[in-house]
This record gives sequence, structure tokens and C-alpha cells, in this order.
Amino acid sequence: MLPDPSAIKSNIIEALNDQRLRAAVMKATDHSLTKRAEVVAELPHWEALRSQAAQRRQETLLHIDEHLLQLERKASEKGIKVHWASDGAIANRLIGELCQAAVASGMASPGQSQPLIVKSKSMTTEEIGLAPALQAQGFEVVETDLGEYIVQIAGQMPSHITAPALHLSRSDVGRLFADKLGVPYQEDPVELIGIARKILRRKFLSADIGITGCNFAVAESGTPLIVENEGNGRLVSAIPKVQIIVMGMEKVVPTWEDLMILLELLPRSATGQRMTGSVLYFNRPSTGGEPDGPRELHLVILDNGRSRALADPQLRSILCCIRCGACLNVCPVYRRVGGHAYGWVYPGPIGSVLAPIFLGLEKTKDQPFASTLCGRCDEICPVKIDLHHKLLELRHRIIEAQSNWTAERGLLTAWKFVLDRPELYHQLAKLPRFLLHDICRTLKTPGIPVWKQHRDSPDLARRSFSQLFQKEFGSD
Amino acid sequence: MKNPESHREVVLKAIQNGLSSTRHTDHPQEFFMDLIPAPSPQRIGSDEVLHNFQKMLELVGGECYITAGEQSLHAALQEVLQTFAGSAVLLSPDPEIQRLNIDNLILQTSLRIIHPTQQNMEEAALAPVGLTSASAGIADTGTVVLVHIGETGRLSALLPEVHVVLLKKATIYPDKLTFLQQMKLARIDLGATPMTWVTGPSSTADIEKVLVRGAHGPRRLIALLY
Ligand code: SF4
Repeated sequence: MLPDPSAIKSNIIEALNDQRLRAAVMKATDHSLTKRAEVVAELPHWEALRSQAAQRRQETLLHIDEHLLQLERKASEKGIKVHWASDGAIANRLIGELCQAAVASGMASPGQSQPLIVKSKSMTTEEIGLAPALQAQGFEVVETDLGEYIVQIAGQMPSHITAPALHLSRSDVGRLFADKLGVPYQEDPVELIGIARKILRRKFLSADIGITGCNFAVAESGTPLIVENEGNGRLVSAIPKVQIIVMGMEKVVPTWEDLMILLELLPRSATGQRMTGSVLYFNRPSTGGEPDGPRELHLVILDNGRSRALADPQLRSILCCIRCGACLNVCPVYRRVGGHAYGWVYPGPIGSVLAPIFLGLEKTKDQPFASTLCGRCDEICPVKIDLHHKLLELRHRIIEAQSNWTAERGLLTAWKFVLDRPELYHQLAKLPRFLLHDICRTLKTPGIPVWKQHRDSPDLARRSFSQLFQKEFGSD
Repeated sequence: MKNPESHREVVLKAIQNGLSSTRHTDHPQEFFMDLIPAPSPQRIGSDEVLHNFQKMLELVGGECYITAGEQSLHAALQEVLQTFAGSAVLLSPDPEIQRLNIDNLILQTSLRIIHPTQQNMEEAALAPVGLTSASAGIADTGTVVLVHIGETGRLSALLPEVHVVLLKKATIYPDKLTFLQQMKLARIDLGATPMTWVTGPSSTADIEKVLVRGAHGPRRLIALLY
């Protein structure tokens, strides 16, 4: 499926009819939420932690240039090469050049006909389409996170920020492996993981360049880091002689104390773990005498729309996001349609806010409407982002930008007129009670808004509430 | 747009322009300097802390043995390594491993020692077990802190199916914040050397959220405390 955030409406209709998909997404997100609730309940100070994290993340944004410059200075002092990229295309070109240079300098083994790049999971590299860009330059690029590997060989996008293959069942994966890897069909997850481990271990051992994302970067010590569970991030940063870290610029945190707070919040919110299987601190390249690790370590700091969010006080705090994916897990829309329906790498509430900022309102004008505004995302967000207010704000801007909303304006003016006059309101309110059944039947006819086709019309009580109230409690 | 310097300026200018309207009206608030939660009052390396470490590590599928001290550590290690008799063990010759004279201990078993490097990885990848020391432990998450400096690489703890880690009791901290504060007090810069915090064996839940231990890294993590 090609990413196309403007296709969200038709995608959703399609996804709603896919019972298997819905069952898979519901099951997986429920599982994550249950585990999260367990480990969150262990921390009596959870709410205080969230407030603290929210405050510190927001404060950091107001001085993000200073923190980034400190990060750059500290990292450079330790031999990390720092690069900046204002958008995805520039980043992809730059990283391509770094890879070419690694091959030319003999850092990447010369015997290979096609230099091999191993990647650990990174949504930021998905966002900029790094893997296809490098493949186009003749590199073999292998995703090594097992979920990412599965969607890569399936030719799909990840469907969740932290669980890329969440939409696939074990039999889907079994068929995929039989089809693409030529192994006998089986559906035991342990067996399937074993197969992938074996194939990917060969890749690791001959990899030339490792590419990782960046969960956070500590400015005061120049420390980019990632969290992961599978050990693939560890291999990506142990074996290849060149490592490139791609970092969205909002990932900077001023101090180690900030990091400790976020490390308390992120694993619990994302996967219901107290701590991820590993936290990798890329403090410096390895030196001559050291047996492993990258000899050359690059850090690419990426803007790609983030400074636009920064310039927009109402949307700015979206940059506090630590990509835990919890808002996807609770979102009643995401849970029913999965991630692919959004047509973009970041689905769910966070994605519907980021899409218009990163890609422009034009292509993404339906994204902020893929929400019930129930606010569960705000409640669960570990850094307390007011996601649903942002969705509402974006809806407002999208409507304002439309030239043809005179009809809507007229309707709303009429509505206001009625609301200002209680007597008139009461009289008019009686009207639909008689007409409702007819209206509902009309709505069921084809051509009428799709949402009605999936809903039943409620049966109305014979008397309205206010009539009953009047009857029961007298004339006032 | 070829000059990398210019991309840097572009990004920084975009940030500064974006913030210009907010910054001067902004009253910089004091960060809460009292961190939540407060670091634990438990004593570093106390029995309470060790048992918590053990409990938390076991919860994530690790194994943990609290030995009486260096003498019993040797016996415990010998017992663990016996299972792998006849094969090779990956060993990082870090100072603590040398001080404990682990080489000698292994020579008395039928195991062969391999010091893994980027050069002998093919051979190293076949070894069933790896042995390292750890610089510290964090009890409330069952985490071991591995520091990669000098000859202490990453591969011994990573390539084999089983990682045996030796951890000094006196370096087990009740929680992350205590660890951080103690490092600051001791003027140890956590940003100076590459570091990995490992919590349990590697795992994945990428297929139907079924937890599978042993993804790309070790399937078993055995911590011996001394
Ligand atoms: S917006 Fe909040 S809940 Fe959603 S991914 Fe980001 S941090 Fe997690």
C-alpha cells in the first residue's frame, strides 16, 4: 500500500469491513493496555510524574535551540559527527552520502557487491522514507526489528508506532514466511521468530553500516540513546563499523534527570514494561583498541516540519511526544481500523495531529476528523498532550480554510438564533420527535453519509424528558 | 544547499523564528528540582536491595543467584559453566574479570575461551555462552549496567544464547535516580563511555503479542551476585 494520507476516508470504510483486522487490532491493543495498567498501578506517583514530564518537556521546547547546540558541542567533543537536515529529502541525501563515503573509505567491507545496511526500528526513518531512498542508491537495507522485518518483506508500512506488525495474525506471518522465505508453513510464534533470527543473524554478521533512530538525546553529556527489546539495536550498534543515528530534533532532553523521568514513563506506557530489555547509550565511537562498536558515529538532527510545530503555540506541545503509542491503543477509531487506514507512518491521534503539520493541511484535511474527540488519548498520554484539543483546533483551521462553507455558516447562524430563544427552542424541539423515524429511514438510503449505514436509529420514548419532568415535579 | 553548514543554519533559524514571538513573553519557570519520585531510602547493596533486584530480574525472565562472596562465586560459576562443557565461552577480558581470575577458573573446565572482536565474529557467533562483569545493577527494574570501554566489548553479552553476568553486590543501587545521583557525587560522567542497560533476556512480542524470549540477543540471562 502506498502511503496516502488523503485516502483515509475510503481506507476507513474498507477497514471497517475487515473483521479479522479489527479482531487482531482489538486483541493486541487490549493486551498492551492491560499490561500498562498493571505496571502503572504500581507507581502511586504516576500522575505527578506525568505532570513533571509534561512541564519539563514543554520548558525544553522553549529553549530547544540552546539544548541542541549543547548536544552538538558535547557530542562533537567526543568524536560523534553531528549533521543537520531541514527536511527528509536533505536527510536522505546526506545519509546516502555518508554511506557512500563509508564504502569508499573501506570502512564498509569492499568484498560486497552490494553494501549491506542493517537498521533498527525507527519511526523517524519511516517518516522520511530513508530505506527506499538508500535502496534506490544500490544499498541492501534490512530492517532487523522482527515486526519491521515482517512488514518489510510483506511490502507494507508499520501499522503501529511500537508494534509494526500488530495487524497480522500468526497465520498471516506463517503464510508470508512460507511465501517469501521458502520455509514450510507454520504458525508457532516461537518457530517463526527462530526462522527470522537465523536469517537476520547472517545479515548482522556481514553488515557494513548500522542505522538506528533515537529515542532521546541528553544534551548535557552529548548522549543519543535508544530503547529496544530484541537485542537488534545492540547488534546494529556493535557489529558494523559505521553507525548513523537519525534523530527528530524534539528528542533532545537537557539533563540525565529528565531522561530518568522519561525512562520511567515510556516503557510503561508503550509496552507495559517497567524497563525495556535494553537502553543503549551511544556515547562515542569506539577507538582503535576496542573489539567492537562503530569506529565512525554520525548523528543526524532532523527538522522536517518540527520547527513549524514549534512556531505554532497552539500545536507546539505536540513535540513533547515520546512516541509511546498509548494514544493509538485507546483510540476508538484506531482500535477499529488499525494503522494502515490512516495512510501515513504515524496513525492514531498523534498521527492525525502530526500529519497536517508535517504534510500541510491540503493533503491531510480528513485526518483530524478521524477522531471521536472522546479525550481518552489526553488521559493516557504520559506527557499530557491535549491531543483532542489539537484535533479540534486543526478541524477549525481546515473548515476556516474552506471557501464553500457559507451553507454551514447559515445553518449555524439559524441555530444560534433558535438557541437564544428558549420558547422557540422548545416548540421546535418537539418537531423532530414526530419526524425522526422517517428521517432515520431516509438516512439509510444509499448516498447518504456513510456513518449512518453502520448505525441503528434509536427508538424514541413516547414522551420527552422535559415532559416527564414536568409531569413528575410540577409546573416549574 | 551542498554545504552542510547551511542546513544547520536553516534549522536553527527556523527554530529561532518560530520561538521569537513566545520567548520574550515567556517567564522561565523553575523546573521542579525535587524529582518525583524521591530516590529510595534503601541502602546501596543492602539485602533488601539485592532481593528486590533478584525479584525484578526474575519477573522479566532472568535468573539470579546471590552468592556469599567471591569464593562461592567461583563455585557457582563453575556449576553454571559445566552445562556447556566441551564448547567455547565468549569472554571479555575486562579488569574485574581479570581481578577475579576467571581465565584460570575456565582453564580448569573443558571450555575454550574466545575473546570476540569484529574480526572473529563468525567463530564467536557459534559459542553457546558469554561471560562479562557488570558495572552496576539497578534493583527496582532488575537492570544490569554494562560499560564498553577498552577491551570490554559488547559481543560477549550479545552473540550467545546465554549471557552470564557477574555483579558486585556493593554496586547494586535501589533505583535509577539513586544510581544517577551516586554517579554525579563520584564525578563519574555517564556520557563518557558507551553503555548498555540490560534488563532480562532479549525478547519480542511482535507476533500477536505473544512473548518470545530470545529474539536477536540472549535467550537466558544469568546474574551471579557476589
Ligand atoms: S501523543 Fe502521547 S500517548 Fe500518543 S504517542 Fe505521543 S506520548 Fe504517547
